[in-house]
Amino acid sequence: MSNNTPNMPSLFSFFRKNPGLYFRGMKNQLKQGLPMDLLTLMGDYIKKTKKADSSPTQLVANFTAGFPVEFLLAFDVWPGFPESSACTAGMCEITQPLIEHAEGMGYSRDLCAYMKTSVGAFDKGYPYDFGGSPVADMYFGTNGVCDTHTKWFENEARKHGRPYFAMDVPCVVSGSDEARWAIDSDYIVAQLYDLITFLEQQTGKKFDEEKFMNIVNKSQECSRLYLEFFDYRKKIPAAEYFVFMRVFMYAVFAMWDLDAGIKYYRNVLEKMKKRYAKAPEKIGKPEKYRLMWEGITLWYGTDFYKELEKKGAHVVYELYTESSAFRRKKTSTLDETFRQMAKEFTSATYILEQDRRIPFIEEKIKDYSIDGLILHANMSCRPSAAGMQDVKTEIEKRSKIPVLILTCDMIDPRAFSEGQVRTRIDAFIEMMEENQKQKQDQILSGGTGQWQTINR
Amino acid sequence: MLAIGLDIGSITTKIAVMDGNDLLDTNVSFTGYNAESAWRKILKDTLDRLQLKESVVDRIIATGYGRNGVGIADKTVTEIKCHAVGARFYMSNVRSVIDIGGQDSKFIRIDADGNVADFVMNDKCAAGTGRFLEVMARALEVELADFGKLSLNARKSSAISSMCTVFAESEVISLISKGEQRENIIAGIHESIVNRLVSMISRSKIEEPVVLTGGVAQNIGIQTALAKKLQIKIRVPDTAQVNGAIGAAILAGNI
Ligand code: SF4
Repeated sequence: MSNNTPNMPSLFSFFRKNPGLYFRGMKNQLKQGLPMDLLTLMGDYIKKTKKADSSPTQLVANFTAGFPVEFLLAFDVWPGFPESSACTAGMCEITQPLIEHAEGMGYSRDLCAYMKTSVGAFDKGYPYDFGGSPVADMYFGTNGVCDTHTKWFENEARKHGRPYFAMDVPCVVSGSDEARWAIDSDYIVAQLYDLITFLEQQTGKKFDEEKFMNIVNKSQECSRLYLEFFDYRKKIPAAEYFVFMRVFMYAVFAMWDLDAGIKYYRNVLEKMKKRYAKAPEKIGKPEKYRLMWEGITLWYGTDFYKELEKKGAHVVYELYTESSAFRRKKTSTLDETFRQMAKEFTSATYILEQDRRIPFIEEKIKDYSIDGLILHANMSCRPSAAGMQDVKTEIEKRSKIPVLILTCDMIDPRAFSEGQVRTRIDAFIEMMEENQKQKQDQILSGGTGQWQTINR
Repeated sequence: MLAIGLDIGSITTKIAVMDGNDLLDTNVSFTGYNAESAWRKILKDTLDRLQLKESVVDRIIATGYGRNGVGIADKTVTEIKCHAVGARFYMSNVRSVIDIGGQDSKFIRIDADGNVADFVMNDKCAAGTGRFLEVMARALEVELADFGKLSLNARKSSAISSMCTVFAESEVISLISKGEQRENIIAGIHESIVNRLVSMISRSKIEEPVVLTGGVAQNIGIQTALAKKLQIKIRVPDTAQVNGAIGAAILAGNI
């Protein structure tokens, strides 16, 4: 942080003021049961963000999900990611008072709870570990994922009197043809050149193409390794479930240290290779029901996912975590990279239009041997909640598995009614049980051939 | 095989006792503050009435919101499945069940084999449920049991548009102060519940025969408004309120 604004409060001063909250947060973080190397990786980002914030020379940027972080890295600007801090507060299960605080500041109940957590935490002086985020030297937003992002960061930049760069990503609607794609692509690429000019002005540095391409290569490698892990989730039992994955994606999403990310993913893959070389019964827990989850995780829902697992139901695939990996195709020139980025901004899994979303889900159901699909109708996130009913109807028809729409919120626990959720989940499990029984009967009686074979 | 179904709802606790395929007895009581003492009492009272000892009971299945608190149950099953099974006991070829309970309403679609094919429930809001009717009955100073009959004398239904139970109550109070006829207000209340139910049902697919269950099912005003709005025939078993408990008892007999 180079400008003369106060630094983020330290964890120690927060602890002295709020010991109860501190312990609660820590306890809830730990109950997720995440492996030490993953916790260390996550802690590394928090530690380094704080360090960047307190450094008199290090420039810090705050960016929204979907923004191409490689540009910041190429200019040695620290990538601060307030959404990840809000997620951390979600895992700590401390967001409700922060959201209510933001609502007291005039933010409506219907607005995104990531934004309200972040705004509330900043206003209450919470550190990065508990939802806060530094005042950045510059702000970067994009509407590639949602329009909340661009307005949220515009507002933050205005409040703190900092420069703001907003990247406009056209919305791809069903039926768009290649000609439309080409126009959209030109429009985005032109903005990427503007972004370079903006960063040159803010940092006083010249754009170094070689350095940038080097970073892009690393981010491609990071994505490749991250996505390779998903192959092990197709196996039965799957390598890992949702509570792990939602933190596992940090390195590929926030990209603060691509070398560390690559090293970490390589290590994990190495372990997986060894684990799956063993006899199947030695690999992991038995899975009665393999679930797919569409939409953002319930960050405060560690107990919820654990309870699902106790019932034998495991979330083995989520579109949300898979969509956090960008730069999926190798590129070698600047123009090729920019075009590829443009393609990715407009076709991320998270924002797929219905025409592509439904067949995509259908394919994943086969790939991951899914028994049931949970659609999280997220009260504060319109892009992820829209169109759920159509997905349900179509998938039930095409894949013949039960589909449950669960109306909750990713980090606002007020939208989670335990009794109501439990009844829905139990009934959903009863339906999967019945479905499996029917499939089994069909197989035993020779069947009609219309069901998939059960292989466990 | 003596099997018992216990349905612990938010307002009432229900019990059904079955011996093989025979329904021996049913009973309803208020759940109140202490759900455990409610189900223990209804179990004891019902067995006493049948002159049976608890030791002769072969199996118990608990359902409803309080199902996990019934320590003596052999199993818990959701009210979705129990209502589907209970409705099939009443009408073997039933394809749709609409259940209006104390704090939730649900729609259950049943496939040709009698299994639950889909279900939808009200979310985040108790408007359109038994609790909503209770609040309105209090505001109108009418016995809940008389609601249905009174609404049949309405000349028109008053418009109740609020989504929230509390705001709807103030809407009702302002209608009373404007001199609106009580019957019309009640018909309006029924209509608003039915509108909510129908939009919930539209998320799935209704198929006939349709059975209406739950404590609110006996309300003739709701039955009529629902049949009119959906343009279908609605069947209501005499045992509508204890339908979930019956389903639980049937399932208990089949474990
Ligand atoms: S949760 Fe949804 S609304 Fe909020 S920032 Fe993310 S995409 Fe946008």
